[in-house]
Amino acid sequence: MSHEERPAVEKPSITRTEALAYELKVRDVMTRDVITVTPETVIAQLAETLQEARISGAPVMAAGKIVGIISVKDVVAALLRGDADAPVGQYMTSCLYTVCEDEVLARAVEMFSRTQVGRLPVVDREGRLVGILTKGDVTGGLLKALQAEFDAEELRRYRASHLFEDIVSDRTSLILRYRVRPRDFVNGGMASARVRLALLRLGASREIARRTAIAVYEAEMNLVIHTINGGLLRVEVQPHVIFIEALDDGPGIEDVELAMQPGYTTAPEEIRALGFGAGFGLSNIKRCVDKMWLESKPGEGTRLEMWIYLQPGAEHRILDTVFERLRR
Amino acid sequence: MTLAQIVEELDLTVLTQPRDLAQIVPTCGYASDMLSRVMARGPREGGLWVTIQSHMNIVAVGAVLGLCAIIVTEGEVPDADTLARANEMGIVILSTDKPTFWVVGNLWRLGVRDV
Repeated sequence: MSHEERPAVEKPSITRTEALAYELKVRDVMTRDVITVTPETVIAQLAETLQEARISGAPVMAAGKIVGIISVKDVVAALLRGDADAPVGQYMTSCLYTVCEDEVLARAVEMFSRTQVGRLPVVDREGRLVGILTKGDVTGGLLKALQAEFDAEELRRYRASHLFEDIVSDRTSLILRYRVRPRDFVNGGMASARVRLALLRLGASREIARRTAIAVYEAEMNLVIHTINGGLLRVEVQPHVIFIEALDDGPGIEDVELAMQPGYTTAPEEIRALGFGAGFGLSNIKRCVDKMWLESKPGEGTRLEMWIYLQPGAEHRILDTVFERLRR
Repeated sequence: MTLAQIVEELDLTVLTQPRDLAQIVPTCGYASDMLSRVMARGPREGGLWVTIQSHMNIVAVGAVLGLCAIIVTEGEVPDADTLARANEMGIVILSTDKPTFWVVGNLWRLGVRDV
């Protein structure tokens, strides 16, 4: 983004951290072992407790109920007045806010900013004290969650991208297979979305992942729209080439040359109303792949083969594959 | 122009789960209701797509092209399954009662350009 486009005043918006605040629960980040005091505890004793536990405040409990909260600030106020022997009950804040353990973290953040309190006792559904939450717990919890998210995807990517280096054979390949059901517009397209993600994790460039995914999408939607029994998608990933096959058992294409022409379609009107079947599928594929082969017999079915080369020069390597196929 | 600013300026409704919209800057914009046209003309990765289509397959199109967001116009609302899948695939879905023409005009005014 260039700075001309940046407005003078940043508008409030939701950050990933804030989004996480809606996903995490209070119980995920709170401190569980709560140190409590009673209204009768004397200030001097409380000061010692706080110092020992290295905390800055504690809930005040009487007969199993939370009756107030006391913090270092209150202790300082008492000591300044020479009130070291006063009971906690005299200096605690009794106006008390609590938060339920199964509330989203965002609710606690909102309470912190609205009430200006430094800590919130956490209660369960029955109102029993189960933990305590400070702003520090919130920040720490969010940072941990952000880091965990980042690590998880990094780890997946690392593991997958080393697959081809770590496993040595004369020809290593990874085959992804997807069964495509006829007229399944709900799941149709998801195979291609998953292929794209898999390729990115395997370390393919974004451009290769995109070209492959578009080609697979069009092949997938052709199976959804046109076939009688659906079909099979097979994506074979090799270090130098991606080989994609789409197979079905009918009805087959009458005129392959005509079908290849942009804008030619045989899709029924109700399917076109959904935005499908505009007749650009095969020409889209042709644009995205390095090589394609379409074979069809009316009444028998269609076989579509597509190749995407991962590196310049990969054409030579895949000749082996082609020769192998011709020999069959 | 971030997605957060676009949502604010165009008064769009965010239908997918809360995300860091201020961190997303659409790379370009594209409008069409024909899915394979979208595939063919292909808004760049990180682009924004404006359409009247609201069925499940828009998520697949968005995911395949790596789009950042889809604006569904004219009051069309994707169903819960579609939104759940959009959340899963990390695509933001926004909606408005306004027609596509109005949305695109305003996106252009805000500096979003075509492919």
